[in-house]
Amino acid sequence: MLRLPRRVLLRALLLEGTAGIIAASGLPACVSEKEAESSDAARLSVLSGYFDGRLAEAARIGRVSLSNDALQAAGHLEALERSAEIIASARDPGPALAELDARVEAELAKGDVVEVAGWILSPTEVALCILAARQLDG
Amino acid sequence: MLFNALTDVAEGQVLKADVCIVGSGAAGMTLALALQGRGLSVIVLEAGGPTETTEAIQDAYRGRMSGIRTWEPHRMRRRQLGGSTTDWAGWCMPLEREDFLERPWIPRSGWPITYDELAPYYALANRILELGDVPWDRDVLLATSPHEPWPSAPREYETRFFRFSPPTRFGPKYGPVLAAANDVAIYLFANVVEIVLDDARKNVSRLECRAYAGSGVPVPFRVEAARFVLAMGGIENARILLASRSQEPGGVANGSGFVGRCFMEHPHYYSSAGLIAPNVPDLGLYLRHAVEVWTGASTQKVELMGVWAPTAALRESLGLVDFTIELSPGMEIDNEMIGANTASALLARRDERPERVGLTIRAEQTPDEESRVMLSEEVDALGVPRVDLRWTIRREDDVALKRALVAAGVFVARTLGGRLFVPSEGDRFDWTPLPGGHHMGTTRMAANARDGVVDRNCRCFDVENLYIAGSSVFPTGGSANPTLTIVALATRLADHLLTGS
Repeated sequence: MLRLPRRVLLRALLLEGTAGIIAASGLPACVSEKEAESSDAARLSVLSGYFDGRLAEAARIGRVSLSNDALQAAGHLEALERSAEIIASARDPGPALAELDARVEAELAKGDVVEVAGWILSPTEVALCILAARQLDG
Repeated sequence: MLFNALTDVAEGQVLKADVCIVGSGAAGMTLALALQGRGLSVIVLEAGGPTETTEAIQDAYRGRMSGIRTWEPHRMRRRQLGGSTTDWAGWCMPLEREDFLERPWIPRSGWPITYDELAPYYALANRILELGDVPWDRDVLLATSPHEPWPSAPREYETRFFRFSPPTRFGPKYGPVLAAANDVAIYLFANVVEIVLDDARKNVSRLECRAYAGSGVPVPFRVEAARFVLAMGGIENARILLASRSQEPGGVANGSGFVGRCFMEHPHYYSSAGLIAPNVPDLGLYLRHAVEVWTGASTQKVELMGVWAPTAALRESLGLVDFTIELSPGMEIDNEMIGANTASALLARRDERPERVGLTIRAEQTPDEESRVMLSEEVDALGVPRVDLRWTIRREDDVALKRALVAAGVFVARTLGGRLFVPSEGDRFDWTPLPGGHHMGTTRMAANARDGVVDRNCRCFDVENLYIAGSSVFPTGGSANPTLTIVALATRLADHLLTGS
């Protein structure tokens, strides 16, 4: 799986949103326009699929997380990095969703949590909310 | 026998008995019931009347609140036969075994008696509070209820049970029993205004009293007894000790300086936290319901309600005070930034509309010397200084509660697939505490005279013939409502007074 330098990832995330992450991920550019559209759709469908289409609500949680630096404060920025990678490299939503679910479950089993406006959440689901916010906010 | 001090006591009269009990609430009346017919003459002094109290009578309970503002002092207690049992809701639960132990993370924790020493008296208290003979055995209650418990884990959360008294109103229930007893004399409208010590200041020689019902001219009289028991409630016990300062400037039995200090309540955080979860399990066990339990001799109906609570192991590992969580189905979660609808997007794939459950938390608080009953400069109609109630909660308790609820959030996520909301401000739980009307700690029980006011037998360290009954002797409050333990301790005190053991 492709690993991104955190600095690059965060810059891309904060400045350019999910599109920036996807661009920064360095995924093969030499694909046809049709192929690119197809893989972009797959990536977006991961996020949408994770929240069962309720991206706007997830984005709201993401915006609150960003305004509070919730992930960073809890020392879980790697969840953002890893979630972005999973999404960026997704060709098919199914395996990506399964991997994200497994990460959430593992974090909760370890007691790794982030507090966002009082909600006790897993770092990965907070990361996904941030990505949803960036997706919608451009 | 039942007397009206206004009409049955002459000015300057001296009443005499083997034991004088001041107060006829849960503690005082339990004690009188236990002493009745045992070869002692007993006087019970009740400041109020036989039935309804009046604003004028309640006036003596008025006072200042210089700490957390709660119900005003005269509104959370009753000055009448039966005391505050006139108002109580009947919630009963024994303290936890661990509540009696020293918990190093809670300053001034540890009782000088053990749970096992009190356990037989809980059985007696069950009967007095009309709870039947069913023991406090969680496994039995769990097995009897048709409902399933929520997840539990030995080092995380567990289910405990409240049981409900009818509730027993001590005035109408036990007043007639005592009125019919030849060896017990209850005096109504009998107000104690000072405790007077003997010359050596080692024993109470008499109580200075006034016959008074909120108006008219107070009529002085005295009570002399071999032994005296203050059973006036968690605020008044401290008040009368502090106010009796003509011989001891710091008040009676206050060599340690602890009289009035370490005032504790059970902060109630109503509908504070909440959770959403897909397919919430049956909540029936956590709602008030009745079950029938076979005791070995008969089938008895028990009203119970489950609550969620941290296990002793979790409390120790996270350094927590104790608390219980009442679960309320369907409650809105009060969070302006991220409401329950928004948060449910996180669970949307599993359940489009996850259920909501509100959490009401009833917590223990760490004994804090600065949380205290003091005297104000104002006096009541009989010249007794009014109370200044300074109820405080240590910040550390709020921080610990936040830690506990974050752990609950992890547990809920792992076991129910839900998500928990905890109202907080930084590292501490943040919700307005409301009182339970449970006044504890102001004449705390301790192993030695340096650390408390009464010994393991509820006898004052400094005054040999003075005892204290009621929740003012609790060194820590646990999270259980106090009445059951008050009654259990009063029956234990009766045993001590009768046998000296």
